[in-house]
Amino acid sequence: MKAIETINLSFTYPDGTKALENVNLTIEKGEKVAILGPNGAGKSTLIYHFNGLLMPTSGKVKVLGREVSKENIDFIRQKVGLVFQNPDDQVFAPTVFQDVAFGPINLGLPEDEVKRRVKWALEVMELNEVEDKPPHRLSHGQKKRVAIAGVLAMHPEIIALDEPTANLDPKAVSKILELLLKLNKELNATLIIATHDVDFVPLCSDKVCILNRGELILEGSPGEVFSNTEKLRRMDLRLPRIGHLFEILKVRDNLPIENPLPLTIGEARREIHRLIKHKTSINNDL
Amino acid sequence: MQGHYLELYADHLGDTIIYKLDPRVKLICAITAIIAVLFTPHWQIAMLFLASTLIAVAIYKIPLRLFMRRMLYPTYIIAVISAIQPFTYGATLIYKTPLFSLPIYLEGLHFSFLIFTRCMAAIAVLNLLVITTPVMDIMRALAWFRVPSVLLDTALLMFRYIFVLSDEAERIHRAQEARCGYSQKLSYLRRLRNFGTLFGVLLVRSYERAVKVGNAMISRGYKGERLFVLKEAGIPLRHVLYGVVIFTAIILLILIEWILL
Repeated sequence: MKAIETINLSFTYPDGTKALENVNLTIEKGEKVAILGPNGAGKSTLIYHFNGLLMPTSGKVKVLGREVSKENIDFIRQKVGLVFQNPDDQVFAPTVFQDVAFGPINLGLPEDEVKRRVKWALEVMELNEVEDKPPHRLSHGQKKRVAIAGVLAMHPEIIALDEPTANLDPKAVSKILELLLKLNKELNATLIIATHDVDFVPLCSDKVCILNRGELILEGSPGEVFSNTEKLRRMDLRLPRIGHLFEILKVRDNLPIENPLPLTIGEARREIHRLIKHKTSINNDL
Repeated sequence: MQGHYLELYADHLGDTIIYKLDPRVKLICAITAIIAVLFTPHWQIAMLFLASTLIAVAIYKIPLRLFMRRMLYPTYIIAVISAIQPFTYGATLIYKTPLFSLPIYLEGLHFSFLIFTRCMAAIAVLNLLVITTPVMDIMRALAWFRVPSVLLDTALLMFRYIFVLSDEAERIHRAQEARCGYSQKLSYLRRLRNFGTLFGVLLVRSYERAVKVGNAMISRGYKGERLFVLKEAGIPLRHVLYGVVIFTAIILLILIEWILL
């Protein structure tokens, strides 16, 4: 089933800036999709459409088969959780518990259910210990997790995150990654991740969409997308570091690296093992 | 983060009764005390309240530095207001200043001292309340007393964002300082202008943030109703009794004041 579908989606800001042009994108349920693009490519604008925060200037956006409109906006906002780039923009309540409870209360749920959901969301995001703390006492990474817990408590089927790794230290990035993958695997949540963190993309996604100047340029698995090296570089993007290393080994050093290029440590390890075996078998033949 | 100054209460008080006393009881007692102090015609009564507060600070080992620091800014304002009084009010002239020959009146002087002690006592009581009670508890108590939710929502948002804003101000200030924005070589006016820029930038950023926070709220289904649900459980009987004792003591004091003084 299609989680999100955009049909000829275009959006122009009131000041005349064209942010999106004819974007046709389909995201299936349970997929992990990275929307990659340089600054100002329209990534945030695009994901704001999924939650009905922005309405298309022309074209359509469908969420779980229903077209986003003012009439079904409550349904849309319950189904698509939006996590903003800066958690201070999102986590506004005086305590963590109250902030996570905000969404469920807006859904009109009874008090017991609100409490149950908050407890659950905090547990999933591993935040039980800080539930009574004021947000200003938390680290940036913890605040980010509170922001995710805040949308999780609304039981969304789709979670769209705007630059989830921005301003986080390496440990916090690993934690966020681990939790996002858990959400996808255990709750079958569809993840949409808008980012320009190229190294994060192959780790968090099984599909990549490249957005540049409001247009969808490339779409496919990380391996497919990152094999278009020239195109990516023209858009001020680059390969993940590991992919870049293997590109150099292949092009400059003529090593028999297979396509697609390895992009993660795991893929690189497998490829190195294959190369070693390959070399040993040649030596044995000789 | 600026830490302890903005950290609005002393949360190490733990098990002491002043910390654990039901916030509703504390609120009622504090408000009664403040009203009593503000309407007393005798500075001695105001001093009595001020002294009681300071004794409480000493008994419960509330950090005196924190307490005094938070008294500082209101004291400036009260001092200015009190300082004007002797020149403006009364009939008995006691002195004329050599410069501008301003008259100082005895009644004005008395009134000035009365205002000063009243305000200081009222602020000390309020300060004691705020230092010994987490903000959320005070807000819940206020909600229990049916204070309109729009006021409480606004207060809680302010409480949340005062930290974010102070961080932001500090960052901007540091960025200005790093490029000699407050260098002693600059004229006072120039430095003042840079400080003005800081506030201008802060205002614009606050506005931008308000829009973003609003968007984030809308995206979680907010439609303009009250933001926070504040609920309070029942008051333990023991706390009600404490409250009655303090309340009666204050009322008795006022009655004695009326009859005897």
